[in-house]
Amino acid sequence: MTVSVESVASRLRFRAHAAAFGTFLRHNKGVAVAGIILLTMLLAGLFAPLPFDPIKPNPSETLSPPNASHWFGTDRSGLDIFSRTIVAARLDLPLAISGALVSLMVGVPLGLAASTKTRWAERFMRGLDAFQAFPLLVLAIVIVALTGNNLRNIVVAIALINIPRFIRLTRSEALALRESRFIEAARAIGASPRRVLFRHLLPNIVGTIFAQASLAVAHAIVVIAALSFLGIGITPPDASWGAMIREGSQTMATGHWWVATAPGVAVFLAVVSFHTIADGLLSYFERADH
Amino acid sequence: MMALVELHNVEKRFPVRGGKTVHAVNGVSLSIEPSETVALIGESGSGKSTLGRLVLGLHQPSSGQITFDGHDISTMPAAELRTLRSQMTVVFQEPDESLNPRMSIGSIIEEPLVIHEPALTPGERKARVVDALEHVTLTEDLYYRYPHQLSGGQQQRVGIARAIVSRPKFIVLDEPTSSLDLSVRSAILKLLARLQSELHLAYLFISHDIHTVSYVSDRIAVMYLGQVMEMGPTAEVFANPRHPYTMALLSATLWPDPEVRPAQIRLTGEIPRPTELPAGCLFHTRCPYQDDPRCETERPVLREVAPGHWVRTFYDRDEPAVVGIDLLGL
Amino acid sequence: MATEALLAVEDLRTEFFTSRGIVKAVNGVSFSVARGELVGIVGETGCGKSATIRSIIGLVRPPGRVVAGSARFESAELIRMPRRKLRAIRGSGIGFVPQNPFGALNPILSIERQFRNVIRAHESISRPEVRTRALQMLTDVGIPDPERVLRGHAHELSGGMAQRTVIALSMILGPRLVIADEPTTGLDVTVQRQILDLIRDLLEREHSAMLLVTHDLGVVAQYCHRVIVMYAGKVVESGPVTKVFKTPAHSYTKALLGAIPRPGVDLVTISGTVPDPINYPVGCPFYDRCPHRSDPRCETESPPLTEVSEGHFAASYYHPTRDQSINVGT
Repeated sequence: MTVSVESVASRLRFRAHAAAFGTFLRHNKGVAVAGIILLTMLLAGLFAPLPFDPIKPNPSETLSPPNASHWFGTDRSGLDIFSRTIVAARLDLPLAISGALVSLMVGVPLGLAASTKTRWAERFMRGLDAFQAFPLLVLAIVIVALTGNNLRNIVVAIALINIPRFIRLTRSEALALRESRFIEAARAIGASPRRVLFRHLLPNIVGTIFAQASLAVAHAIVVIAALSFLGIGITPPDASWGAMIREGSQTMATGHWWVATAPGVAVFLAVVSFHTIADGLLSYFERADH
Repeated sequence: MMALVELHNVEKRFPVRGGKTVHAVNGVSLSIEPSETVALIGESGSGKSTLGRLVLGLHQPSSGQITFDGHDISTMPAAELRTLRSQMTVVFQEPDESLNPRMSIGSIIEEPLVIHEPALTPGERKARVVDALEHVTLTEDLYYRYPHQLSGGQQQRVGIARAIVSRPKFIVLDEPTSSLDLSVRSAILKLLARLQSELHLAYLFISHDIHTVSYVSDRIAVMYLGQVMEMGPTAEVFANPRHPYTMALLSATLWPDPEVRPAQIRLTGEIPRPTELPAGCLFHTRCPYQDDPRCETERPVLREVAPGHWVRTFYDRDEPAVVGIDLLGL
Repeated sequence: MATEALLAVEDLRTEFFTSRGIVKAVNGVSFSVARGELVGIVGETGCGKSATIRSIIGLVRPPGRVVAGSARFESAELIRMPRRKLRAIRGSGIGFVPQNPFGALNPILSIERQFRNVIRAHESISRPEVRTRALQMLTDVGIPDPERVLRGHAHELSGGMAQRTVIALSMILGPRLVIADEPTTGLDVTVQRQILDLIRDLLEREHSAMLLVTHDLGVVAQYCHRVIVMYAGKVVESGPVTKVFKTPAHSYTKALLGAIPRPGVDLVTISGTVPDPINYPVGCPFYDRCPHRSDPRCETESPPLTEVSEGHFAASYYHPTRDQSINVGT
């Protein structure tokens, strides 16, 4: 029996998409590099063998500058900064990604619902305006401080901060799209509202949503760092870039510059990588429209 | 026998910001028979596009009745209306914008079948799509391509293929060739004519271009500010225009023949806002004639001045057409 | 080349450097415009007509560049003229009417201010004098309430009003040559006719010449003395409008005229597509789509413009000696 039409079709489609993606990567080497950096950070954080134990203090070698055995130096407790920088990725990255994912999963459906022309949608958006009048970082701090320093609460806090973004973005994209000709055409051929939503509206929003998700992760990394900088969220002896930068900022005054440097660079790299990926995603999806 | 599409005194009003109301369609009655082409011609603000959408049921009329194939669609619930959409389809003006950029050509064309004929197997669906592609003279290899890879003419053909795949009886064409170059336009117009005779389609052809309309349509309705001002067989209306607006339109048309210079009927002023319709005859604020006292106070009704030729005006011309264009001569 | 020519363009070549390759938008264009003459450049999308006039008045920006050729306006070479000198010519020597009036009007400044800027750039006159002249010009272009328009801003104007205002701005200094790029595309038929009549009246009053770019053959037939037909970056035919429309000498012109929809006449369709402007074929650019191809040189050598009859030129090896004249229009 010959191969079915649909499987040939889907293989062809896959190959076409894969080819397009490959071409895209070749032209946007930045995105490829960013992806590699992030993947390396995450995998290293999870699996890499570390030269030193990242949480067992070593009082004999406190605050030593970068040298042959401690590449990035040690901190006040004698912990190897290199090992801690790497292992911090185990917490910081997954937390940031989870937080962003949760806000996506809550924010996008809400945004789609808010893009309809109902009274509920109007009221909801006014409520959202009020909610966003709070400084959300402060809100996150309060939540975590009140409900406890566990990982779940950090994710909730990050999600809270990012959900409004997703709602607004999804809503504005959906609003604009609802006026477009091909949506009207879909209605004209008899597509049910559900079909219009899933087959026409969503696929055309997905690109900007993923780009926004990438930005949200970048933002979340900074938020986590800020939280642990303030002593909330991830606390010592767990390794977190923010906490390390906190300690580093104090030791900077006494001339020990290296304590904050490595984690600072790590945050910077992660954030820039996510931004690069976001840009790349946007241009990939935009190009496909032309 | 009832016509395929019938409109009785259809009106459509839209509320807009500031408490005002846009009077888009102000009492239109017309009918479309199977396999015939009726053209709606008018300038911006004439309401022709809104009327097209009313006929398709994409808007509900504020008052009046619209029937399609015997069904009253003006008050039909949405779900029931959807089932009729396999029989009345649409082709829009902007070919690139009317195709979902994330769907392949094959998926775009087969979608009406997925919706209305769910019993078909994927193989059967593909065969129908290929058949539709052949009808619009596109090759099968376009099946897996995406809209942005096609030229404007090809995109419009895809739009037409999507409109015929469900074997409809009636297609609303809203300025289908206005965005296309002349050389592409002629190919699409010929295609539409061929499809009409092959597939026994009725067309409502909406346009602002007199040349296009003269080629494609059997009957024509001239619209101004949401009303039909003149209606009748195309050749007859063009040869003997009886409404001053029709005359103005014809005289304003730029004929691509340097030696044809019709007498100019000049209109005064600008088109009134659809939120503030003039009293009396809707056209009187710009009419070069206005020699009847009723023009400012009464709305004229459609009256038959020749078989099948209706006019809505108080202007009664005895002398032969100032600006009639004899399209069948030469 | 006429020594008395107001504008003489010779072998103009403009290229755009894109990631896909070099687009030869203007591929060797030569023509001239005499004093008081109304010349139309006509062609379909991508033929290079807009790029040509932008090259002439110095509006080509990177990644585009005029790479060769000359455009002399009253014996001053415009290509690569220093910005300052070009600005002195623009407005008083050459006026420009663009396609989108709102793109040409500053949204922030009042209309009166914009008139002041234009006039003061060339003449130092007092504010009240600017006002008087602006009011007069706005009345000349048919604006019913010029005071209000002067006080107001661009966004308060309708499309037709905005275009009239832009025409007033571009012609207030009485330029010897007005270059208009699709000035009425998108406007209603009746408005289009009004605006074109008005442009022609102003031109006649000032004895100005016009170079009008359009895709509409009707505009050219009704308003121009001479016509230039462009295809694939080249001039394929030029001559007096009557001659070109009645006895077209190039196959493309013939096909284009035959593609205008008319009732009861078989529409001409042109098979194929325009050549890729990055990869023009050797030989005649119309070769792939030409129904004649009678000469062996058609495929290998691009035909030069040759005089077919007095003042009538065509870039073709095919010379229909006893061809039927095309009947367009009535």
